Amino acid sequence: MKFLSRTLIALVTIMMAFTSTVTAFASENNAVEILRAAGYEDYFIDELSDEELSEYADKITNDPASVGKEEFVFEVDNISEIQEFVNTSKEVLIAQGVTTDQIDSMQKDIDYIANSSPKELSDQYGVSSVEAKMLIEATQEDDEYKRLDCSNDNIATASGSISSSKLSFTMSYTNRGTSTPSYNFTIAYNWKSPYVTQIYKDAIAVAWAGGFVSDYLSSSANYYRGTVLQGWITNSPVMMFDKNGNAKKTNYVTYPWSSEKEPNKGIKFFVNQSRSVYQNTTASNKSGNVKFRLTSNTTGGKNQTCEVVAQFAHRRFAVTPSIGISTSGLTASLSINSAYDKSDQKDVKIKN
Amino acid sequence: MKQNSISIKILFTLVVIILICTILFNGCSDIMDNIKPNAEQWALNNTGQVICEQSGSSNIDINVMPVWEKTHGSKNVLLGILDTGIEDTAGLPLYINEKEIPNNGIDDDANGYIDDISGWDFYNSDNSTFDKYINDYHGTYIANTIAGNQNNLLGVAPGLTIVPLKFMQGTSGDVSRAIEAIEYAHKLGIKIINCSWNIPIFNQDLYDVIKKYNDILFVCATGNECLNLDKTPIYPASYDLENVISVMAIDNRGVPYDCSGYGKTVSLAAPGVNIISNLPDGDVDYISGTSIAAAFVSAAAGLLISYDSSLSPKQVKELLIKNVSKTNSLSEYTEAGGYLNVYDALISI
Repeated sequence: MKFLSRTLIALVTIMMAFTSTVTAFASENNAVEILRAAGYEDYFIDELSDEELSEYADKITNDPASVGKEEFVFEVDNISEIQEFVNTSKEVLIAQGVTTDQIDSMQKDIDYIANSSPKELSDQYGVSSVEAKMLIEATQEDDEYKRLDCSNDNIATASGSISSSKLSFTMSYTNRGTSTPSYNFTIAYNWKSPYVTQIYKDAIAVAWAGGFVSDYLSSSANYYRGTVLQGWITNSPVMMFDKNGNAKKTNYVTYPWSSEKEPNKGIKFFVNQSRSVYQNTTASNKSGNVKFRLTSNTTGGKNQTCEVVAQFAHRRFAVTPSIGISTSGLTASLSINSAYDKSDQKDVKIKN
Repeated sequence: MKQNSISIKILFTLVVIILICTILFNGCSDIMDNIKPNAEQWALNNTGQVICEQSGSSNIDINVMPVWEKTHGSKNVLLGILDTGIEDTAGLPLYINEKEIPNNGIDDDANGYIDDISGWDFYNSDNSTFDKYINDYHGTYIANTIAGNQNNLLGVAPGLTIVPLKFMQGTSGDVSRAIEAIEYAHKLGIKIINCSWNIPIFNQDLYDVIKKYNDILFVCATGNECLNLDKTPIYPASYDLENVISVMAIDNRGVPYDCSGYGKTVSLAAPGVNIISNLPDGDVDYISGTSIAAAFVSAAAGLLISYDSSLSPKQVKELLIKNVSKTNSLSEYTEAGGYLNVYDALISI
């Protein structure tokens, strides 16, 4: 009888566990569908924890005004990136903090392109013969190469190119619904194809107005193997090591972004464009997120509409980088110098 | 004898007239014969053909073929390509400055630019408007989309005259050089300036020069950052001026290009996905972007002004916006609620 009772309890427990797993699974799928229907792309959804996913789905369904998002696509021109690298001396790069290992790694990729024929590149990697020809031409040093010399605000960019890498970027928030206004922000990004320049640090800058206090929550940058010609090799294992020095394989490696706070007005996040993950293997930052919380510094809030702006900056120039954060009244802005190719600034409005 | 002599003279005159007519007729018919788009040029004639593995929708094109029966562009209409340099090839009608003696090192026409035979390079401050393939492919491609006639690929308006106004290298340039180029363009009498580029921040000097020269139509791309320009304006596309027309891109099904700028402040749409055109060195390739959409609208404006030279930029803009092919999918994406229809615009003059 005792045995039967225990068996029955075990059976019921297993059934309950199974049922709740199925329910959780179904609910997670449902949440994903809710986010997709609200216009969130999969790369953003992938960066959310289960708890965050449920929170978003719940708010989108029951209180859509408490959720906001902005997104954009940012393009970098591979041909210009190659030209920039091959026409910048090693000395200048080293003076900007680039290591010889990083330079050698990038040079290896450039040499590979330079030593191939257009047909080889075209056949092997599926790029058009014209794109292959232009990539090869870009690898040749040019005595007459003239770097664009003007303030970043004055740079005009062509609205079409032969070879470009695109980054998708989403900034979104949920209103926590607390008596003192407080918002959880998630910024997610995803390079659709790899970029050429891999020797510097990229940045995400955020600025806000209205006297919010920030808490850094978490971040991650996901490194995959890939090159401009090959694309991302998501199924190719990247080697990394555990604390005992044993090699282990994974499809990608994750590192956090570093952050620099400017109290009450902004955060700058930085991360390496690439990392050496195994002997001479380099992996590049493909996707990831930064998450932070903004809470009004006035108990109960002031109910003013305030601006939060964000920008992605991909560094490719051997110029000392600078990112400025400023606020004026209830508006905020970022000024990023010519060390970077930068996206447009995107803003969302929240209440303090 | 006298009558015979008169008859011979009449006969001779008739033969000469017939010969002249035959030459003229054949000449015209050669030009018109050439004006048949390549099957890959879906933007000029979309029959639903597959382009880059994507089936199109019939008639989602700019409806320009009937226009060619009336005009393929006047050489007196100067269209400036404010872009990279442009490769000078036989199939591209580039401007020749007759007042300047080539390479004599003298500013013969006293316009402040020495030996500016065919436009000017404002990036390098010299008269060479084509330096290198990778530096000047974008402008070459745009110019050929507008007015090229080579490699069995036709531009929209091969009869126009193209003026290179180089201020970019590769895919970027300094907007202060663009302003200098606009000043130069005005002195030349350019009617339309194609701006297949953008800056993210309002530039007062650029705004002022465009406003000042309201006898020039500026056709502007809306960028490839998938921005809603109503909320995040880019320039010059978002300048609220009567001589600025902004253009977003659609594919061969009429669907907005997924990276295109859009919004109710965007004037209209035009083809801009998988567009084949000529590049330097005799190459051809497909490019996508609002750059190309702007080029189609510039060419269309050139055709309208060729047909009726009295049209002001404001009138051309209104004609192009009012006579789009309307679609539901574009009603929320543009002011016009549709995409470029050159023929309807022309017959509305």
